[in-house]
Amino acid sequence: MNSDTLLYRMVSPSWMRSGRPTSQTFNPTPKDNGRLSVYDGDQISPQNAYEHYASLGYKAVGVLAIAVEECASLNLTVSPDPLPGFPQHAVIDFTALSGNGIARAARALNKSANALGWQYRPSA
Amino acid sequence: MAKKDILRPRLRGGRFENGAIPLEFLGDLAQLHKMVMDVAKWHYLQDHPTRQRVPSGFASAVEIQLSSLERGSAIPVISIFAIQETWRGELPYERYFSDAAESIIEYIRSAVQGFSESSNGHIRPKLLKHFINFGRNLRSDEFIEFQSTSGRTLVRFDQRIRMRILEFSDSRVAYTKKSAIRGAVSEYDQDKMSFEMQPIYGQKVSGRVHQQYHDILMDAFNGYQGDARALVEGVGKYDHQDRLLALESVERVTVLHPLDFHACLDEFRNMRDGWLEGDGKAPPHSGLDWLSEAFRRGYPDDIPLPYTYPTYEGGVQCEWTIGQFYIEIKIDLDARKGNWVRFNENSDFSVFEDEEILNLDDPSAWAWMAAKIRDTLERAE
Repeated sequence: MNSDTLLYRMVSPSWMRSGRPTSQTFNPTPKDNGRLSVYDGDQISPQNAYEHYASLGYKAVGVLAIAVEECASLNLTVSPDPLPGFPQHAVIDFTALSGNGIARAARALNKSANALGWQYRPSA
Repeated sequence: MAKKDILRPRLRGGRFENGAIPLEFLGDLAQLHKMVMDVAKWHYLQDHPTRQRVPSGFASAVEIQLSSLERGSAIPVISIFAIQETWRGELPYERYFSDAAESIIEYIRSAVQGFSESSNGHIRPKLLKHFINFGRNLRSDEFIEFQSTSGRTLVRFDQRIRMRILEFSDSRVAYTKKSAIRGAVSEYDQDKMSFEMQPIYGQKVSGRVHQQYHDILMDAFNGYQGDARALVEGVGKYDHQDRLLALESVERVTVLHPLDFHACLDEFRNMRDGWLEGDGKAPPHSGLDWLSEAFRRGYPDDIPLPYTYPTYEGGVQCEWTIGQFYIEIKIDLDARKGNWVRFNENSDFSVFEDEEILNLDDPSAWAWMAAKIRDTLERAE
């Protein structure tokens, strides 16, 4: 993993509105404990990441990506977090932020990811 | 064959006084037969709450017949017969048919007495539809006297009581109200000016419209495979569980804005807990009702609609991107509060235009939000 590595994030169908994903896509939920799960793009393609996600029984409308460098610019650290049977798992650490700082960072990541465009969409 | 008389309604007055029954009235008796059968099934299911339906032989095991006509005005004797010889000559499910007859009589008695909260204990509300046909051929000088097997006083059923039952059942079974339904037009018949609509939340309904809405309905129908949605305003008919049954009349049809706030909330009504990676709480309907009404009252038409999403916690998040500005409000539907954040995306990361916790039950909070959005529109590049 280096600064150019892309990190893949799935977009929930409920988090799309008229083609626009919500900033919540990049905002850790309470169960994440401030560490947002992503796929390490050096180890898996966007399509394979999507298929892995679907194999877990989860739904997504597509795959967005954010560069490690972009996270670093927001003072968010990225680290590999391999799980059993899921070695491509990585996390973006938001724990240094609090309150609306998290919302602002999530918005910045969402904006950058949208600028990069969809990495994979199943119907495309 | 085993047989038991279950009803001996005494038909009195007018055409019945000579002891005969007009052929026209046989349809009412046929309806009474259907009612006895349905109420008997209902009693059976009450006794067997784990069953979805009655046993397959329930309705065919016995025959409900008009077994004789006794004198005294006219008294049709309604009996149940076993279809086949049964062990020890017993009638299958006999108790349920007897109970059904008794329930119908007691229900009419409760109507005569002006109804009470327990009236529906005698007869399932859905079964009241039988009174639409039963008794409709009674003339104003005609009535039916029922006597229950318990020997209580006679119960008189006439058009006045029938109307009382129908009015009572209407208030329980179905009612109408002004409605605004958002959804997709799945069928459209130009000749009949009728259409079928799939509401965003709820069952398909049909309606008829005036010619003036042809173009809008056509657009909505042609966009059915896409995301085209229409708003149909008029009078809807609902059941006692507030489910839309039909559109009785249509007063206005408009094409919905893709970001229509109320349509978004209707979408959220279809969500179930676990919607986000097996986790994620579905927004509560009561909270969505509240927010829909608060937004209708407080959000002006002249400012941009937000992009609206559910939140992991079962709330709602609205987002606006206006030029270099980003705004979001994360709404807690239980607390009726919103966490409002506005910032210039080109500004220092720690600088916010506003950060507020808003009490969204307070109209001034909505006015404050509208003012901030207008301010953003003025300053956006």
